[in-house]
Amino acid sequence: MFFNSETFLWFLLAFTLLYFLVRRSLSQRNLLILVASYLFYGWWDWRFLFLLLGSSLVDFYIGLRVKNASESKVRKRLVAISLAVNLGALGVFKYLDFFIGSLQTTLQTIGVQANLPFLEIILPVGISFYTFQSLSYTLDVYRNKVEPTQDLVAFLAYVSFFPQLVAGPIERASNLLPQFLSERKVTKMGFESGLWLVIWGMFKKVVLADNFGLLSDMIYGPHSVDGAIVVLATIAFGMQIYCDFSGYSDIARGLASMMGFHLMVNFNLPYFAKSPSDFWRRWHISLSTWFRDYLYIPLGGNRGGSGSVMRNLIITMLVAGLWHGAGWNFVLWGLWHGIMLCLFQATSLDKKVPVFIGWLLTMMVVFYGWLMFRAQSLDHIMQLTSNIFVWEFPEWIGSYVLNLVIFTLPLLAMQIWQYRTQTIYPLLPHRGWLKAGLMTLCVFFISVFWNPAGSPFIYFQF
Amino acid sequence: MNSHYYEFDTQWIIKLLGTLIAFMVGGALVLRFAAPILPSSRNTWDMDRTIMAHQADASGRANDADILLIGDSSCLMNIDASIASEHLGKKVLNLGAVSFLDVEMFGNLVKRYLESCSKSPDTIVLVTHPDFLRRSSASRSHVAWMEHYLAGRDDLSRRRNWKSIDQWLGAHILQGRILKYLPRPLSVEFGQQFGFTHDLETYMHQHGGSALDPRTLDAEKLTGSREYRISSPNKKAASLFALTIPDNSRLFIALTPLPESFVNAQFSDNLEAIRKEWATTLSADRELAALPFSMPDELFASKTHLAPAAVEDYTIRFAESLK
Repeated sequence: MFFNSETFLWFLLAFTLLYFLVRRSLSQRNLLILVASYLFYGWWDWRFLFLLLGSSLVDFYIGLRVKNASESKVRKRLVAISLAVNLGALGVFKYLDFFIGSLQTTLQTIGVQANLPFLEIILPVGISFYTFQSLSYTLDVYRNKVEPTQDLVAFLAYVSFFPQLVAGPIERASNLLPQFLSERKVTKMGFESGLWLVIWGMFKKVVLADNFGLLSDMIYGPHSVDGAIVVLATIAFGMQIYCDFSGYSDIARGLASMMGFHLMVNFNLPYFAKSPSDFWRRWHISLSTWFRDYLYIPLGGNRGGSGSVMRNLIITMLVAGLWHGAGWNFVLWGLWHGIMLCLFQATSLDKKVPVFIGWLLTMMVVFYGWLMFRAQSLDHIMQLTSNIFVWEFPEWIGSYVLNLVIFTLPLLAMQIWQYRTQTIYPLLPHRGWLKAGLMTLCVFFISVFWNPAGSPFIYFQF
Repeated sequence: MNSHYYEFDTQWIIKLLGTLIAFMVGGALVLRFAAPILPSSRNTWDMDRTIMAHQADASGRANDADILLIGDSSCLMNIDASIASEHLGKKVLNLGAVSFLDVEMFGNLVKRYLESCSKSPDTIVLVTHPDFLRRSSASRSHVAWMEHYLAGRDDLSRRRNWKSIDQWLGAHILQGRILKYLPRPLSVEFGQQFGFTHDLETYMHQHGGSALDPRTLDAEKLTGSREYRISSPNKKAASLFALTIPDNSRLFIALTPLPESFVNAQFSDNLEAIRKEWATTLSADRELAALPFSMPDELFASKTHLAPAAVEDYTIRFAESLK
């Protein structure tokens, strides 16, 4: 069930009615959220509900046991079980075939003909998101940052909360779980900003991302198109992935806000970043802070010499790359960002050059990264990279640029407005008619580009 | 414990959502009232609609072709009218559209063409694929789109029920009258071959109304029944189509080929009988019997379309058979 599908609109309508009817009891409402979230997830494939439930139950009980265990050794062992279960599930469903394939290729390279068995199982939607969310709970309980809950329904609802279940933001238990355990306050501002976020997020997905997607698919498709148009296609893909993913985050945050929940901001004008580290403070914030807190800092973080800092950065980014997908292009993408983070940090490059040059260099790093991310193989990356230097363009370059500019303009206008007002909701303080007018305009364009079947969000595959 | 504390009451929600709905209704009304003064509707939002609009426009222009080709997408993609023209030394126009239309709509295009030309073509060739002949119904949305377009109305071909909020809002007016100037990217392989909808139209214009299918056939994925026949709606529509052919024009019929690996042993005999029956139903003057019923898989882009590399040879065989 996609947010941008007709089915979801029906689901949301039914959920809203029921949510209103059971407004007197917190536990009933949590139960309703839980049932709705499992229905939402099971709509795609009910069999994977067991995986979601299993991983949640393990973390729920381990959280309680960790709290009661006095010995450090026992606590560590319990956390190790949680890590093994969550990362084990992720490893089997997401990475096992990739590693088997890589092993087979390596063996063939050294002349050993091996026919290794592949699992060939489908990847459960959003597994990387909910396992990380569930895992953060046990880790935070272990670190005494969160009190374990005894309310199973609230915990299951926290892990499976449908607005952010399949593509984040990856919420920490310290932020979201308490919201399931106490009375929620729905303010005028929260409801109105939520409504705006849902409409704007939908606009970003349906109007912008899907059209940028058509442009990038033309070049990244099965047959190669020679020439420097790959640069424009990469820009199109960079815009697509941003609008697609941040659109999802906006819808998730908007829906939650209208229900009285506050989810974290996941994107903060990432294409305004002036250095790679600035970019990672603005892009997929819930994931980058997750890796910072649970991997980078435990590895040593900024402590030690520059060598160990660089090692920690590269390891963290390699794992972050692999988190995105089981493919060498994702590993390379992570490595690329790791190296660039080290390079900028070692040379303080962004501080030595004018702001505009710093921004330009950062965007070149980020968008070349997107080329690796979008490519289908390492050979494809090489081929696309060599194309950048071939100064040839197809006859339809004019139409390509026109589409790119037209779909960039609304996003750029909104982001400049957000940047100048330093708020995600620059519209809210304005008069009612202006707000309604802008929302209506968005709705009209959503209806023009609406695909009744719904096109999947890119991050669902992760 | 109470579940929620609300800072507002129902009246506030009604006011908030009511304003939004009022703006939407207002916008929809403005679009409807403004439609007559906006540019004419031409909703070429995707490849199918671009092809249909191009062929509908071509059917309404005085062309004075000697040979007129009409039919499904195999007519459009497998025969290059410009090559045929060069080979025969005669003017050939291809009005082949998409397979989602029906024979009745092909008849409407021919009728429209005859009304706009000073002389009738010597020959009209109805080119169809065996898959088209056995199909029992056309795509309602494609036929409706074409009917609306030919009548100069806004595109209301999509679902028309209370759920189609987009049409209530007037999305079709925006698409057809304002956004028609925006070239739309074609899907992956077609995009890489032609670029955008405007570029596809330019190509079709330069090739006498013909297009190309740039895809590559995956023979292992060929599906569907191997039994062929003429469906009764097609038989019924054929007799009406025959009435549109003027006395001074000859009607020929041609069947386009299938990939060799898809056909069975009795296929050729069966298809020959079908072609005869089709010719009889249409009161055709001639069947283009020299054209093959099947060809090697590597010459195909899909089950119904030839690959670009095979189009020239096939077009020459087709032109030869017209002589």
